Amino acid sequence: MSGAANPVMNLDPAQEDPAKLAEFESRIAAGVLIEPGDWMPQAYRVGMLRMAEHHANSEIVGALPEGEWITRAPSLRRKLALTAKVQDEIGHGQMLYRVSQDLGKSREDMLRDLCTGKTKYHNCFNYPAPTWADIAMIQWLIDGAAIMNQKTLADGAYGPYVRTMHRINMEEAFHFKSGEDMVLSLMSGTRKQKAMAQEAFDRWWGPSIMFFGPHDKPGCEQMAPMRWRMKVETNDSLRRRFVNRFAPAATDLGLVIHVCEKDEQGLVTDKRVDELCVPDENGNWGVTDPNWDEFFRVIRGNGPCNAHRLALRRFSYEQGGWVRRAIAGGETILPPAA
Amino acid sequence: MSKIRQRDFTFADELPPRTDGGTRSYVVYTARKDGAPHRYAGYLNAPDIALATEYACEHYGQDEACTGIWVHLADDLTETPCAEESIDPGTGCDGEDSDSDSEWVVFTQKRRGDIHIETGTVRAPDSAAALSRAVSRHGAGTVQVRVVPMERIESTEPGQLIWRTHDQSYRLARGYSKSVRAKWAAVRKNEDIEEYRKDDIENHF
Repeated sequence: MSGAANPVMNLDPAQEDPAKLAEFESRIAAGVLIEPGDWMPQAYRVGMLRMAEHHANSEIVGALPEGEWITRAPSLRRKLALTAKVQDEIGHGQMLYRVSQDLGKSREDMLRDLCTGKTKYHNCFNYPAPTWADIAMIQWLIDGAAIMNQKTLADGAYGPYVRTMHRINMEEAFHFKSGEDMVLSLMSGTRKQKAMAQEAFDRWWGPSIMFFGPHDKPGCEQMAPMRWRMKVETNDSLRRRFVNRFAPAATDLGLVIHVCEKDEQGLVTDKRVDELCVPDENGNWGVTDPNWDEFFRVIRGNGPCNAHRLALRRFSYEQGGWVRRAIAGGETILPPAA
Repeated sequence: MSKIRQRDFTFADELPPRTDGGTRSYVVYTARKDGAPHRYAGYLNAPDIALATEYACEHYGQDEACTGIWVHLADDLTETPCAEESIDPGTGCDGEDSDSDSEWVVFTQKRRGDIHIETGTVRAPDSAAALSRAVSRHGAGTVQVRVVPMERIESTEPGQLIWRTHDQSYRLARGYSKSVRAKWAAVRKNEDIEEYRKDDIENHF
């Protein structure tokens, strides 16, 4: 479950061999997939690495809030499904770290950079999941957004990433359907269940709208990430499709779409009905622009759960150190006390 | 929430010492049914091939029907550069197989971006000769040919159970399709459900 990062392209392609760069771009334009042994501009290599590494980090951190709920799942089937989902997400992380390794960064470096906050993961995983309904909404809305994004990433140009997306999407389809089933069950349940689902929906609708990243810059289609098919659809286009899919579905389910104010813990303190979230004459749904100050605050590490997520990840990394040392054949000691 | 997750974590300023260098990269292939060719599944890192095979069974053997797994060190493969168009088999050089030569498994990639699929075997004295023979015999209609010494491939035992046969519908999208459809039908019109489903990943339902 993740949206991949917008690759940061701060290396100048003008530094590259013009003939090679022209050939590379013509191959991309012709729909040729780039394989690891092919020549590629350094900016492309670095951009793909950042994108794949951010995606891998997001898979790993994204499993943390869901893992907390395995022991409290409301039935055996839900417990099995959530356990399988968490296992899948960690597996996705392993596959994406592998793609990143081929682009030039060691797995150990990536794991350590995640622990120290040097590299980032998706902002939506810095929000709390205080009830079971939050797990349902994460799987319906966030995995739904991730599928929308990852279906387009599977049409990208870098062969290993594309192959990994195809494999990941197969499992994301289960995560999404399972979440959809949970939301539908809650909304066809008791008054208390419906209220719990509405409160969770209020917490997750905003992060879902922000999932696709900030508004597009003018001319983004001509910039390197899209020209090189690292991304194939703009943030705003993906967001529009998401709203057109999920806003009417939520409304038909009986959920009310609110614009919410949240406290420092990410819990809703005030809300009003989103009057803009209605269809226009063409059937396109509007939506109130999310709070982008909140978005950037979370990205910079000051969201409700940033510190806790990173601490838990670092705790796991340090706890697992003795296993890695044992595997490496070196001397090891007992694990640190939990 | 578990007590571990509720605690206040305190850490040293620095991360503990690095522990990398203990694992190597392995390539994994899976077969979907007995006798079917092995298809590229992915990579993994492991300290040795025995553990790599165990990891592969857990990681790649459970996400789709799987009856057999092959694992080899990434360093053990030899392959042609990935061509833009189909390989010319004439660029390879065929020769008589000799029982005294090693056996090499041939994998081919039909188009760029496709996965590598087991295509056959050749016998040859070394990797260069094996690749050349593989190109000559199996290169037509492919963009890349890969050879791996059979003796370097770790394989699960024939008939060894990997894909569990108990009910796993809880971990498959299609395990939810009917109940989800029925629940939507109670609150939405059919055409709205169909419109909504357009963004599903269709081939997994």
